[in-house]
Amino acid sequence: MTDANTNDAGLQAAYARLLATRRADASVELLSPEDLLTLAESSGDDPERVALLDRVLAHPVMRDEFYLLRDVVRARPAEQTTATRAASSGDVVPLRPRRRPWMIPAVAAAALLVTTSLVLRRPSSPIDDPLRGANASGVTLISPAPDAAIAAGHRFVWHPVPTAAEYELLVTDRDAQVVARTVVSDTVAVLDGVVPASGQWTVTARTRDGRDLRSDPRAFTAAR
Amino acid sequence: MCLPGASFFGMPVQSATPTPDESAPDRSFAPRVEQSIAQWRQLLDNTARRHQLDRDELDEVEQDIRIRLWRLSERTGTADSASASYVYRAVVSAVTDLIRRRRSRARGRVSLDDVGEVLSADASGPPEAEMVAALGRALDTLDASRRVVVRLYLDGKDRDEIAAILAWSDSKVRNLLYRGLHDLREQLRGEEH
Repeated sequence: MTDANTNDAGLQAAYARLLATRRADASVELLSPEDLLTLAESSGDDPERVALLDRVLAHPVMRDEFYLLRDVVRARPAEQTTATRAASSGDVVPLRPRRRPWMIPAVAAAALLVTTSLVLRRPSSPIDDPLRGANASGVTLISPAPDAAIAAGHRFVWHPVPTAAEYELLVTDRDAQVVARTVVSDTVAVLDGVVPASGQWTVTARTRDGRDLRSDPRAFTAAR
Repeated sequence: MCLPGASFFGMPVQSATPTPDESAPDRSFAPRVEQSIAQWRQLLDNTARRHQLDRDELDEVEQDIRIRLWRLSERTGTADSASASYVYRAVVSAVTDLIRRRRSRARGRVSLDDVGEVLSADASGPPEAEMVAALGRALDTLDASRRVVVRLYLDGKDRDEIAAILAWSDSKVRNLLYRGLHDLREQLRGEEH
């Protein structure tokens, strides 16, 4: 092995040839375009994501598709005002809480439970680490975790934004159709009803001075 | 305003059945659709060049986006529904559909470019062919975090791009890349002996 082979240029040339030999390998199971998109939109260094990226980059077809989707994802509007527009459209009914007398103590208990669970979760949550992709200027999501399988009754949780007056939770299905929207004053909302097979959720914090701070979208799937 | 812990998902998507007049799409939506597409055209053109999409494929994507936005208009009867996030989702849906179509077309076909690349790899002779095989084996021995960084680097990405793709800090990428390349070279030199 000569130095010319193992210098950067030599390695890059050899790597290009290595991938070229794999392009026609029909035995490789390609990830679906939706999974590639989720990967392009996600962040963080959890082992599953790293392993998936490694698999994608090792195959030239998936690698090219991933780079293509990533270019599109990078052009995503940095700060959106979906909340006001979605609310004004007839696409989704603004959701209202089901106010029932028995819910008051239940909500108080739930709030206490959520507060407790937040306190317990924070030390171990990978998104708390600023080096791991926390969204410093927007809303940082907590649960469900990226690509988690969720069922009806699941609780969506995010970190509070000190200046927020309210939060809007928006849930879309895999076709980007808004399937649920709610505005809450706390940092939790409960999923109640039919869960789409897969989709994304985002939270927008509306601050007291009228600004919208948005989280990165996070993918989920329906638990079977 | 909802109570904390408000429940949702149990709600109908459409608020009411529209009357015939209400169900007609708002004609003022057309310029808005074209405006949304125009905002993305530059990006789509650049992306098409970078990823070797041909004119037909680009037209397919644009038409797909147009149809999705029009469908939204038909469902809602309003021109205000195309939020930035909806347009973005329409674009990514159109691109994922394009990927699906490309895969379908490519099934069972091998492009001449690919044949050329593989032939040139084969024609490079045993030492170079052995180098390619050794590189594959050496990569497999790397720790996953180092390997993914090294792959991106060998793909021609610079450190900033790698950090952006992985959403990792520059110092983490620098460290993993340095160690990864070092391990890779050690492994290759080890194979020689």
